[in-house]
Amino acid sequence: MSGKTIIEMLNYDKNDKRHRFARRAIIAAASLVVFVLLWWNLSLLLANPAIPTPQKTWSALTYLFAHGDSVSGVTMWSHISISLRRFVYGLLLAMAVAVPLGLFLGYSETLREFTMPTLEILRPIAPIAWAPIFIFTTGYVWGPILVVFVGIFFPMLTNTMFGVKKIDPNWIDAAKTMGATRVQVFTKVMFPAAVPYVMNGLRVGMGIGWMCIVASELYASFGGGIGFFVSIMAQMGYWDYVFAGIAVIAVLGLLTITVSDYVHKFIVRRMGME
Amino acid sequence: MTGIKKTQAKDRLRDALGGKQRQTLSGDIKIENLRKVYRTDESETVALEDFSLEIKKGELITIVGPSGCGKTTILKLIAGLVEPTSGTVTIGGEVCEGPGPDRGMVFQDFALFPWRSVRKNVEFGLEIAGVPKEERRERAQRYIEIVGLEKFADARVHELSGGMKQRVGIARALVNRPDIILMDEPFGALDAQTRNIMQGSLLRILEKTDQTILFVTHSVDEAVYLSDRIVVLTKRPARIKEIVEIDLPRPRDRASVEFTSIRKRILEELEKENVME
Amino acid sequence: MKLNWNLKMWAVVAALIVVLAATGTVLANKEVEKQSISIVARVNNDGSGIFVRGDVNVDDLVTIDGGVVTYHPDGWRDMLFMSPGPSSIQHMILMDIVKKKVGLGFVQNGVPYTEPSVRWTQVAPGQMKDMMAKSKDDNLIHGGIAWEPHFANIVASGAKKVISSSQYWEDHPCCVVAVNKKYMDTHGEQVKRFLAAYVKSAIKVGDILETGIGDEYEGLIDLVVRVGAPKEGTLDRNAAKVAMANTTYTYELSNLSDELTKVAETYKGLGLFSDETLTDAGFDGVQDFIEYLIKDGPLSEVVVNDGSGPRAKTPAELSLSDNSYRVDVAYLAADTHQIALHYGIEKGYFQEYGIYVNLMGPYAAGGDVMGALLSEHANIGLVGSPPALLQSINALR
Repeated sequence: MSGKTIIEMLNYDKNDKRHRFARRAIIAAASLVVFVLLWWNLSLLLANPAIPTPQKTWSALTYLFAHGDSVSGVTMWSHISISLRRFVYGLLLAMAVAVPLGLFLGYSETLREFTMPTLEILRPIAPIAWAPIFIFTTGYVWGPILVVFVGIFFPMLTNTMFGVKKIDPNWIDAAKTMGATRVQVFTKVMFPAAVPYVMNGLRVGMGIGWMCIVASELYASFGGGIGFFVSIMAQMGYWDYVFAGIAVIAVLGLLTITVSDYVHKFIVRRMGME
Repeated sequence: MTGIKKTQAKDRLRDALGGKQRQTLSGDIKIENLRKVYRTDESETVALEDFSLEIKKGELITIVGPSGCGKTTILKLIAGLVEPTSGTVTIGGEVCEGPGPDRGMVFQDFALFPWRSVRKNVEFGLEIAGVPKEERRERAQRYIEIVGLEKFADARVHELSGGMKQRVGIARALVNRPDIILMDEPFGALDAQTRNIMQGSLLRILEKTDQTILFVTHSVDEAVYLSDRIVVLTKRPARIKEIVEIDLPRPRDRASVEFTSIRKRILEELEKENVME
Repeated sequence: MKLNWNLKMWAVVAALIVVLAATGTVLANKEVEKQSISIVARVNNDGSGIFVRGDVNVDDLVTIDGGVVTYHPDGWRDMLFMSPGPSSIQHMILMDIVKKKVGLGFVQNGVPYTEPSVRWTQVAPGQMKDMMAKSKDDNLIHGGIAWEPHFANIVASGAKKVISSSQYWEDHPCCVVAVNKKYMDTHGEQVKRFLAAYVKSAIKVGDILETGIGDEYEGLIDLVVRVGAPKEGTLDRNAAKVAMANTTYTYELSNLSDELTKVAETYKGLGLFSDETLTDAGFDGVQDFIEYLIKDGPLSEVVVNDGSGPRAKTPAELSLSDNSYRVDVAYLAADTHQIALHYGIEKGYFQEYGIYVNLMGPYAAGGDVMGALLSEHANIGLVGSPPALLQSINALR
């Protein structure tokens, strides 16, 4: 190492991609270290069993993934897969309903004027408020799925509608002058043009949907799941398990949002509609 | 030979209606008494009044007029995207109702579909018409070559320059073999240099095809450079002020005396309209 | 050479990390008193039961001959039972029956299983009746286990009784009166007064139920219907009477230590806690810890037996001052095991002893009552002994 001193190597060059990445990584690591230390201090200071230390949470986490808990008799993987399955069902259901409906509502002003009052009444209701009703009326199996559905449905619908309204009218005119029928305008112009907005709806909806699934499982769940796991563990005072569950929820939520962000960006770029 | 033949619009109309028996070819366009009134709750705006025009197959006609006079409205009326308050557009003896693939359109802001590649944009109309995939590909390829974009056939729209985009727009309109192509200030969004190049390539492209062109522009220079005839409009409500026939040989020399004098004359006419405002 | 790093910011971050690590180390070595509870009286024994849908043949599950219950595994297999939740004694009873007596696995519904098993799902007892009615159509749920008055009420509404909890374990412990440990140490006076009034009420309720007739009895049943029904009119009056007969009301602590040891051993066998937790906290084992939990001092102070059976000492006998105190008492939703608390409030017994009972809740499950006690949200709680035991153990961790 003749030419370069350590200082030189440390010199931050913001035009270098690797430097930028390293900087971000170091800052993120420092932030996490401070967070864990704060948590540790708070846990010791409050000395409340409901706030276990990071060490306890970590060992609970590793134990749950390796051996599972005695109450449900299954590992954390099973709880995660149960919740994820519900989440995916709710998501697919929301997409299947919200996207076509959003396209129609964006397309037809009369239909929009007709449905908006009802939708505007329903929209502000927190999805979890439906949980008791859905869970009872749909026999505990579809209940949590429907809660996720409601959570994802509205952002998806409004984004799709917005997407249709934002469509360049010249695109539609262009398609018409090439002989496109109403149906063809719908399928070949409006639908693809709305896709980036649908994806944005998906991105927003997925964050909300994840909160909904956990909340509805906390309320009651016929078939377990990570939210249910947290609720029964709290009932029995396994607070380290509760925290482990919360950590899993946090990581899964982060993953879903990261994945949907990435998918959104990818599709928007792929479609050249940045 | 001044190169200018001035005919009053009314005279031409009389000729057209007055039994000058001529077989109407497909591509011959007859626009009769088009009138368009935009109504809102408070006001009525007459955008177009008493617009009649006959266009022969293969002609290139430009429409110039004071800005905001309703030039685009004329194209949209002919395209069938806007319904006339009264009057008809007849192509090859058939009255047009609503848009159709017999009238292609090229837009000022290109209106290309960004989610499709260049090739897929050009294929759009064929896809709509249900042309089989093989043939679609072949025909699109031909027109992509005509506009000189064969190297960019699989590029995405956002990767292209403005001039290239508009060549895609032209290919997309031409590939459907419409009787008439309506061009709404197609080069308006381009810089002066690209614009001149595009005008040249448009003429070259048209040599290889036989479409009738109705071309709206606010550039008199462009109109004189391209047109067989120039329709000069009055300010709103737009009426035909005069029709100027240009039979200068192509390619035209913008610096020639004839060119400049025609341009000057039309500009003066337009200026009168603007002053009166 | 100028570094492009923001050195000031990094200095602050580094300092923060050092300071937090230091304070954390100091705090970690400090002894802290852990929250706990004391059990000062029993509330009831028995008073739960397993039921199945009307269209299920009970003989396929159990046959009872002269008090001896025989379980038939084939009938139980793959059935889905409702439980008030895994922290409840009902859950423990059902789990123990399924695993030990029937000999099948006991799995949470929704979790894939390969061994022959019975499935469970958590449903609040107040909703079980509706769920049973609904399951006639969708065939999803086969039965459940619930505390009174729900067991009697569900059976009255067309379900079939499989066994009552006393047929599984006669005189099994159920609810207890638990006091926050710190409160117990600092507010002995209040605990004594509360306990005296509670014992008076419990004895009175026991007497009334023994008579089983008359205005006082009907009055008590009125209260049971009010307390036991989450919604007016949903608890059948006859079912309420059956529910009361199925439950044994008592305050005595005798034998509780042995019984709780049995509960704890069951839990340990199910893998819900390990001896390590107790020994790490300085206890010799389960027995030692349970003796630490059960405090019979206050009860022996307030109960006197002068020949005609035990009774609560009067305020005069306890030489209480005229002061009055507020006590925050956590209780369970629609649980008639705890009827003596409500009866004592209705009859003004607590006021006699200078106690104003501020009811906290109702809580849906015993685990939540324990949560209220351990977080000092409530001073005293009426709670099932299993959650009391399990949460006390978990609070040591």
